[in-house]
Amino acid sequence: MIKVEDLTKVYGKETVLNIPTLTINKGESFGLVGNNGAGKTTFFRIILDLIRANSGFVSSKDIATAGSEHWKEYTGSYLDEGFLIDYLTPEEYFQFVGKINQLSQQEIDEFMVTFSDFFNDEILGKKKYIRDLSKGNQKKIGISAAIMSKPEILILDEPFSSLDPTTQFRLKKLLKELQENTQMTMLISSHDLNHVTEVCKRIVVLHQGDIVHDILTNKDTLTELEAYFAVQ
Amino acid sequence: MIKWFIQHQWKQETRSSIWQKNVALNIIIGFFMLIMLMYILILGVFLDRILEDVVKGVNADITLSKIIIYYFILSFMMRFFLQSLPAMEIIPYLHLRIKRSTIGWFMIFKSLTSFFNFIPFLLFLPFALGYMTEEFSGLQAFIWFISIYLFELTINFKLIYFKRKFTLNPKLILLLISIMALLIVLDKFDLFSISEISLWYFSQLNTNWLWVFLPLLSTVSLVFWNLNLIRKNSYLDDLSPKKTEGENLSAKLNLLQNFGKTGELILGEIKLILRNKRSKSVVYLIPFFLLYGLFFYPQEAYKETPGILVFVGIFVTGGFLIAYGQYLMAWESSHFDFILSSNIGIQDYFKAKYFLLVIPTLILYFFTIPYMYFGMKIFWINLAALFYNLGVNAPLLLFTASFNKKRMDLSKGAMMNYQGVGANNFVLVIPLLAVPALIYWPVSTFFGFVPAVLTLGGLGVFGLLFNQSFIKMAVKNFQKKRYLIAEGYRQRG
Repeated sequence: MIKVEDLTKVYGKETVLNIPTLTINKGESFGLVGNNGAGKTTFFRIILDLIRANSGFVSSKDIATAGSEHWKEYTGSYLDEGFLIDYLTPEEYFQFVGKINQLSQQEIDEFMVTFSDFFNDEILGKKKYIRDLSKGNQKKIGISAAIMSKPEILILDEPFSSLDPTTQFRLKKLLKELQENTQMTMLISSHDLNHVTEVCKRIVVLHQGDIVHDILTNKDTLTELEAYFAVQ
Repeated sequence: MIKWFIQHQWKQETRSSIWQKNVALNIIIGFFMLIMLMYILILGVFLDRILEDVVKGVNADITLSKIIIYYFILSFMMRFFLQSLPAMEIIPYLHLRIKRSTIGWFMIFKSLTSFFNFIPFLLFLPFALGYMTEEFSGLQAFIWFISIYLFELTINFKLIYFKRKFTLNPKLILLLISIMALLIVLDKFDLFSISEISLWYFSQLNTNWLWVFLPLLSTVSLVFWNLNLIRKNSYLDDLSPKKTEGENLSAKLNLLQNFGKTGELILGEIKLILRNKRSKSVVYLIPFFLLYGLFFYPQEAYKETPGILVFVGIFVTGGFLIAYGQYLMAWESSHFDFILSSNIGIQDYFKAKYFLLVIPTLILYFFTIPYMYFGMKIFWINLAALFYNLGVNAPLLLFTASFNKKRMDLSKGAMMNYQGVGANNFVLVIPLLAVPALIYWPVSTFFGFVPAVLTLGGLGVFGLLFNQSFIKMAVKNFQKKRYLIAEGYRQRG
């Protein structure tokens, strides 16, 4: 589904990302962990063609994402507040995202109903603009808007941080259900080793731009990762 | 404590990216400010002669006493649009061990640094030193000036109080303008003359200096009103935004949804314009753009220099186009990553932008038709200018939008706000306004009026016919620069 070849990104003299080769298969749940500055967000931004790589490329369905718009049709993403239109109300934002992804009004309404649990009555019908909501609620909006069109690829940057515990559980459940029911390919970065090992079947550890671990999740993964980061 | 505040303010100012990155822009702005101050000073120095020249046979001080009240009203109106609240971002200080009254006092003092509070020194101090000292005594001149300055401060604090209490909305502006118009009309027909009241006060002041206590008391009481208001309203829930009001406009515009993605994008952007301070003030500027012609058209001298009329025509018919189009994409800088990564075709995106430039310009054009009153020549020039704006300037703006890489903060008002403005914004305006005049001028000199208007309008029609190709070119240019643009928009501050 996603292939990475010889990808590097350099800021000044510092190489912040260096991935010789990486393949993410369809339906895979791919967890990206690493400390601050490991290159997680940079990697996601390159996949989404938001920044330019210094060399190499990322391809999605065998088409390089850079310069192409084809991937946009089946990719949902939420990295940061820069993905929210903060002067809209949540309803208007969903409406907008739904319409540009060619969902019908009925589908948009259905989405809002199925996500009402996830929103926990704090998002819809509040008559507030997104900019006036808390960080956690903004994140809920961004994540659900990314999932809304049932994309084939979902990219989330630290989805669990700043969510309340209940929503963290709900999000994990939701992501797992999506994996089972829809074969959605997921790329999720996280600082929370617990959550990410629970949701993702494959974990990749980035350290200063390099992949230092690439493991399929098993019952020992969490302890391994904890041991790795404790030494760092 | 005050020392700290001043220090933080200083750092905030000097560390804002505008100062650090844009020396050229600062020089340009500084230069214009200097010229403006010079004009005011010159006006102040010759004020007595000007007044006695305009109203013959009446002493300058009498005339001034009569009209000065209008100066104060004007000052209030101007401040209303231009002066921002002393917005020391007080939130980070509230939880610290600082008295609220200290914060309040600092904000009071900060408001004194507004440009408007210095105008009396330029405009009326020369008058006091020259005319008043000669005609009356030094002491009377002193008292006279002090009283005028205190009135100015009264206006300053009144405005701050007013602005803190009410948010800028069209109804309020309309109300203020109509009150002012009413006062002028009443004065004109001698029904209720505020200028007579003004005259009466200043003649009292000249005989009895105790009258200076009137503006003094009003200033002091307004200071305390303001302090009280700041103290009572410095809570997070007052400072943070209110709930949105029922939004019925977007419901009215729902028919745009029938136009697919482009319609959806236009709808979104209309919401952007109406819900953010910075973009809203561009809308408030529209009447000024439209009325701009009134400066020029009544004067015969300008009618003879044809280039000027084209320049004015482009501005009158395209004021919104230029003011809005300069920041075409920067308006969306805060969610630009979303635009790039979601399922919006860049072609659709640019098409929506094009319509957003063209449709309002067309609508606004109808308001410029009454300029016909000043001659059919102006009507034809404006019509040609409209076509030129739609056919040439609009695609040009689409193209040049890709050179603007500065993030824009939409939550701050626009007047005198240079955040997100680059030197290229100034450079850009020149070809937009000057090139059509430069095209028109030689053609009209050598071939006459009709060919010149036809050339200008023809260029516009040509541009309109090929607008699809121009949009494609703009998209191509954008594709090359998109990473730099997105990177620039991610930079805050």
